[in-house]
Amino acid sequence: MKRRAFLGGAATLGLGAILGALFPRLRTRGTVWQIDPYKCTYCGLCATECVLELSAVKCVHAFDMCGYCNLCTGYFEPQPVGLNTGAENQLCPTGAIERKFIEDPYFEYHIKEPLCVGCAKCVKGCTTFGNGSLYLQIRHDRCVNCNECSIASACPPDAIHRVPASQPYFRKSQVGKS
Amino acid sequence: MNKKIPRREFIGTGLGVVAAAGLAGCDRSERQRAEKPPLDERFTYDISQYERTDPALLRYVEKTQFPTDLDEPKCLAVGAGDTILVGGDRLLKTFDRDGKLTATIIRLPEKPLALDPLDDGAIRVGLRERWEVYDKTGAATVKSELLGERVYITALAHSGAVVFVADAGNREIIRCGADGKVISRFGKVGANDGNPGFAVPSPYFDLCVGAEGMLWIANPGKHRIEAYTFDGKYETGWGETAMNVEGFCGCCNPVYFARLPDGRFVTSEKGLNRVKVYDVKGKFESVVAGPEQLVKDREMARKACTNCQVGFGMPVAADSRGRVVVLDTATRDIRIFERKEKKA
Repeated sequence: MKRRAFLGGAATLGLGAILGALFPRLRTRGTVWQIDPYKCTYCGLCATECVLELSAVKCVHAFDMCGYCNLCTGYFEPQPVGLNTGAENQLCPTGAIERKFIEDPYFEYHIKEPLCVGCAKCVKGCTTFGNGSLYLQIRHDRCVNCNECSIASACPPDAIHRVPASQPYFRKSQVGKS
Repeated sequence: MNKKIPRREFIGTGLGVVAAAGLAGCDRSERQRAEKPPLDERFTYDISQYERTDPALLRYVEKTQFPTDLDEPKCLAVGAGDTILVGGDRLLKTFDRDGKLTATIIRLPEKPLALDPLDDGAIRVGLRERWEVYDKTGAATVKSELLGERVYITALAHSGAVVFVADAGNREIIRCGADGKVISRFGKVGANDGNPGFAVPSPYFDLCVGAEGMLWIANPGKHRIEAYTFDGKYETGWGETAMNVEGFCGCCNPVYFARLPDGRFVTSEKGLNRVKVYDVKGKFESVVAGPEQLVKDREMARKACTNCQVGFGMPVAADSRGRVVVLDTATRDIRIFERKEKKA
């Protein structure tokens, strides 16, 4: 092969590579993946389908919706031995929820994100009996913003979509639904 | 001076560009997903064992079901002559005891949240922060004052000229005169009124006046039904926290209750939807309908009912014949249950 032809081919390949790398980024620039909590069915796939070893999906808490229940069904096993922080009473298998006394008979619940695997067990407990203040969100300090989100591909209710990066989170509230 | 590119070179270069572009563009979409095993049962929320009712405890059978034709039915009461009153959207509808819609449909200024039938055929309707009385023709005859900040009315009852208003927003009971003026309030945690205080985590807070002359109030966060004097002093109460059928489940139940003609209690729970009967002392007696009768397809209910994203409650009432009337907020139907005939 002549030198000129070789260089021309290499340049063309390089140009193609640059265009190919840029195109998906242009397509997805300014958007990130997020879960619509009103479509989520708490199936548990967020914990296992993320490309990351520890899922970028975490439980978050809308405190303005919370009932601050003594018997929080997102925190306690369905039939707890006692309403205390004993491990045998806790619903979360990784102990990712902290219970704090506020005033009788109300308690506040916080998510310890490093321990949360995004399994949605607490979300289902809270939503089944309570106000649905616990819900799942993709945390963008962890999410690598794949072109094709593997959780979105597996999500049965198609609850994961791209949203503007300027508004990366759904804020669940009592007032309205998305 | 244009140089002709040989066909082979042109095709080869084109393929190269496509291949390079494809490889470069797949950097993230083809990222290898870490192989993770499926979640084991520790990560599964399972209450299915509580969703089956022992057939021996089911002493009622569903006799009738008819649609309310409301988008969001919310409140229910049984009035004189066992008429069935249903409020929802911005309407109040009246059905006869067999489910036939009567001619009167009252249009309301906002969504009704509670109903209290009066002896003369009029009805008191709880709106969010106030209540109004409508006569048989649908004309508003009394309008209460605004009852306060953050008021969210969930139930109404009366004894003589005193109106009792359950306010889930402030977790207290408001006593009003028949003219709509506030007389007093009681039951708030920390009010130092000698009462245990109401725990109301969600907007479900029911009450009714009993024939024995007591005001019965649900304390859902404590899983109890409590009796108060008409001036707001705690007298007694009953109820226990439990997922099993004898108790009240979840964070906050019962969400609704009513009295049968003989004084027994009919309760309705959310989350694990079940309607049950307790005797006058609060001892569990039987099940009217369990989760498998009330919510046959929870996913369908979730889609059908805008309020069914979270644990949703079904209002209950009882008529003079002891029939249990349930407002199914998922199917938007009225469902009537009758006690099974005893076998000879």
